Amino acid sequence: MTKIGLEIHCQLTKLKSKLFCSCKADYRGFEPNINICPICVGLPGSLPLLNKKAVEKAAMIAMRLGCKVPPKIGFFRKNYFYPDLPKNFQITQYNVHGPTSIGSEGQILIEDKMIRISRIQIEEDPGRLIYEGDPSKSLTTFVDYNRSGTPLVEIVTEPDFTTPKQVRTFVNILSDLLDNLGVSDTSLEGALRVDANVSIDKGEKVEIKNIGSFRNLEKAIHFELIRQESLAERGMPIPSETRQWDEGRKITISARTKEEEQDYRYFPESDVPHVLIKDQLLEKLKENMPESIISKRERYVEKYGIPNQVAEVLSTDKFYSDLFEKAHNENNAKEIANLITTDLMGLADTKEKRDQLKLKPQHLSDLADAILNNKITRISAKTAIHEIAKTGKPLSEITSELDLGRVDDESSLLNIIDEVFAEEKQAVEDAKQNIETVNYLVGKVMKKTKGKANPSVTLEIIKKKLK
Amino acid sequence: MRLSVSATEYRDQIRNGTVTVEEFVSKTLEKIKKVDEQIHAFITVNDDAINQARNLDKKLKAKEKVGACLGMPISIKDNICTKGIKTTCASKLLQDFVAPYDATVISRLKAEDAIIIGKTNLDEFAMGLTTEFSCYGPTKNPWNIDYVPGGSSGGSAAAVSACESIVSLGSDTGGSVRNPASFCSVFGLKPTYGLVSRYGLVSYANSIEQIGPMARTVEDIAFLMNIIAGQDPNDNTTIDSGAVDYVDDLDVGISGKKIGVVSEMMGEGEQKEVTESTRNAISKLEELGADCEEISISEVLHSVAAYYTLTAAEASSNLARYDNIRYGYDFGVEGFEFNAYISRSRKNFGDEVIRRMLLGTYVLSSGYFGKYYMKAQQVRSLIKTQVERAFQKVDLLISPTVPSMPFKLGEKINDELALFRLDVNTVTANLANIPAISVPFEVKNGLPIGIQLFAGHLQEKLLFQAAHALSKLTKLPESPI
Amino acid sequence: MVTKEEIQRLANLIKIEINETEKYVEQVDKVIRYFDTLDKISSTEEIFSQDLALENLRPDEHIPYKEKLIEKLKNSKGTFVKAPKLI
Repeated sequence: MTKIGLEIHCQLTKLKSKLFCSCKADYRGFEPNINICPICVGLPGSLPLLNKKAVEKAAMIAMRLGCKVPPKIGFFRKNYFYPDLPKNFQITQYNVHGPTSIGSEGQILIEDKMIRISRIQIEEDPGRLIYEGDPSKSLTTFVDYNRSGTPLVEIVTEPDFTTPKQVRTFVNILSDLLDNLGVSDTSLEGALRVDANVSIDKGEKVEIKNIGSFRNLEKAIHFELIRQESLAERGMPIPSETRQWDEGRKITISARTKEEEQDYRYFPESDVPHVLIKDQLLEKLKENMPESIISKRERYVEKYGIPNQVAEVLSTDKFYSDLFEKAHNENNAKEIANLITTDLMGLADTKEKRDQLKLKPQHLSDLADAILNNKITRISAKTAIHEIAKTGKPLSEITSELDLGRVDDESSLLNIIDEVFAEEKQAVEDAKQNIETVNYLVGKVMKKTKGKANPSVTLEIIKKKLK
Repeated sequence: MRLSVSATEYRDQIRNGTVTVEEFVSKTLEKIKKVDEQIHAFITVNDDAINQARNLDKKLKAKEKVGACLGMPISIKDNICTKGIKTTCASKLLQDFVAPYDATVISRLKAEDAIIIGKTNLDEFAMGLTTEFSCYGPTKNPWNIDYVPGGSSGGSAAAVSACESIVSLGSDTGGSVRNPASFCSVFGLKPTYGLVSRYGLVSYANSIEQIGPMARTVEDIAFLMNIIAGQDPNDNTTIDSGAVDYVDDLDVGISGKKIGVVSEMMGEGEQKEVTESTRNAISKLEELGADCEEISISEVLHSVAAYYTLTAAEASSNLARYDNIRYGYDFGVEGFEFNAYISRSRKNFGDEVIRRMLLGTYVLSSGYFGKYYMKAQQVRSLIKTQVERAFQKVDLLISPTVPSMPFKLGEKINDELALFRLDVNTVTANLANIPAISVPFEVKNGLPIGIQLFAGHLQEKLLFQAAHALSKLTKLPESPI
Repeated sequence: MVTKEEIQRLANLIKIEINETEKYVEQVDKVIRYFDTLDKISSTEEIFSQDLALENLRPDEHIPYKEKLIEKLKNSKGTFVKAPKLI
């Protein structure tokens, strides 16, 4: 049977400081080696100072994934030499001598399949290596320690997946969950990294590392399964090894086995005392945890009568649900949900667009109220959202600038309808024969008014004139 | 002007104006110049000391506020980081290292206007107990330069003993303050683990070691502890000890105190003179009204094996960062593969350091972890429990600091196990996280003998009172150099 | 008995080039035999650890380091640190 397990590294990008020092947790956008201090470059005499929030956020992740959080957690050193690892050991957690990592034995339901979480641990990210020109040719590498010490949470699953698709669904759900918890912005490059363990019946476990994006995750696992099956068919052994995903060639390749046998020599990191987590504190954390995606969705459906599909979209994306939460009241909730999921979506479907988006929750509630009070048509609302997204101007200003106010009064509508009747004689005849075709005429009026005409009043007048 | 003054005397003289800071500091520098060629206590002497002294004199003259140390020259073991002055750990791998920050103990001393006169010699990365394993060559005992000064804080002990500084800071992992204190006839304290910040102390065995003061009087030890002790936001392992004034009530005596004589640290395998000296100290304490009785801490027999297992394990990891990439000595990376480069760079560790790292790697590697490392941890816990139990019965413990008198340079350098045996009385305090002090007690055949007192967790004040009482009974000569 | 191969493996793990393997074999073996006394201890003693309450950990604040530390490190090519490549 196919068995797939995952090791997911998630950066806690929402923290202000690194795991063991006060440098910035989100290292992005700095010139090299500017976001560093004696602690994160491992200068002699420096000592790690554990970030309280990092433990709290990791505990929240553990609880949301149904893990047990022990009353006392501890840290270990994982000893290995690597150019990006300043102390030549990584401070991490380890569960061999009793459960001392922040979470263990959790589970999460993915499309009717229970995926078990074996453990969750807190650890530090290493620095980054930069190569000049062709990495295979250059003999030196350049190190940037800005990332060194960034807080990571590693989530390790049991090998409970049986298809690459399940893996993708899981990772999608997990990344929504992490975003929603407010612990990480998983859309940032490198914020969520996944390694997979893949094995089939007749073989050993193979670890695939270096899978850059989640889009490649499914492909990499798929390729690996085919590779293992074809080996098995030919009666060849599948040895336990680590393979790298080759992005260019879309295959996995064996990582050098020349590297002598690894022996990480885990032992306790006594510079970080064991951390006592009181039950009360855990309860308090739990209470203050952001509402889960599932609970949000149920509330949207039950309280506001938002259709299930709309609620689903709204609740899974933290960006949309945050907008919704800030903008809505009981009366306009449904309208706002509508505006977000139909009109806004195309304007905010990428990180870049979101960063540039000028629209504020107030805009949405103004817009929804205007629609509900018949001050603007839905069509005009769409135009307004586009303009607000670009300029951030208040709705009232945009309405008058673009002349989006709804045309309600019969006299002005009558003039326009007269024009349309004069221009569309054939259509008027058709409508007289078959009232179903009247929408063509309504459409013409809408077009002439750039969508501002009150559609029901327009229809009434046209019907009257046709008689 | 006498250089052999205590810190208290020095402060009186500066306040009275009988001597200026500059006079004292320059006299000290002269002394270093005169004797250090022979005893080699220093790796680096601070060029700026005279300037700092002059500035303080100006401040004193202008009646500006000056910190409690009043420009007192203090020497610092060269594994404690000092901003702007090299911190070499007596290792080639750090021969050019200048820390961009001060250790917490250093910033606290500077805030009290102490003057760092220089950085003292040690066994490379503090691994040793003779100061022979320094890449800069050994320090010699000021009492007789054919003899070792003890170690690893041998430079600090020699500097205090030879009046090259009034006081010094060393570090004690398994006796590294107390052993040289005993061999050089000065006081040396290993504080309770967590009482003094380790921020800026270059780690060797981080779960065990502490920075400790060395001085010519107990009062000076207490004075230094008033400055350097206390919780530090830069060291998560420091503990809240409350506000204690260690200098107050130093002379309350020890009448009525119960003192346990640790059986496992007496007699067997010990040099005769040392045992005699200890018996002598015990009877003198009894004369002062203390109540001495034999007490057993059976795990002491396993303590050295446990100590070396744990320290070697931690050292193998703590010293991994010395890969010569971010700092280190001049050796280009061009043309080297990563593993080849760092293996070549790290070849420059001394033999003793390499040996301990190999041992540490051995006891942590898969297959041996349970057999050695975990067992050593259990011994440590057992010792801690036994020591706690002992302190339910007695107030203090007593033993010789080192089971042997100082010996000649080179005598034991190749006999690892003989050196191990010298640690048997000191490592218990480190494994049990309790304070212990070495008190200079006698000089026999021109060589010093120290007595060790232990107290319970955070009972430094009681420890100093007892050490003070014991030291009042002795009238020791000054070192001949 | 500690073997030559074991010493070499240990040296590889901690990345130290050693030439006189025999010397270390003898020295390490002697000490390991001394450590063997530990193995005789049968203890169920719980391992002591230092504890700290979660509340007392460092608060999550970004405080940039006050100096340009990179200038104090070996550096090249702008503000990078140069390292040999892992092959």
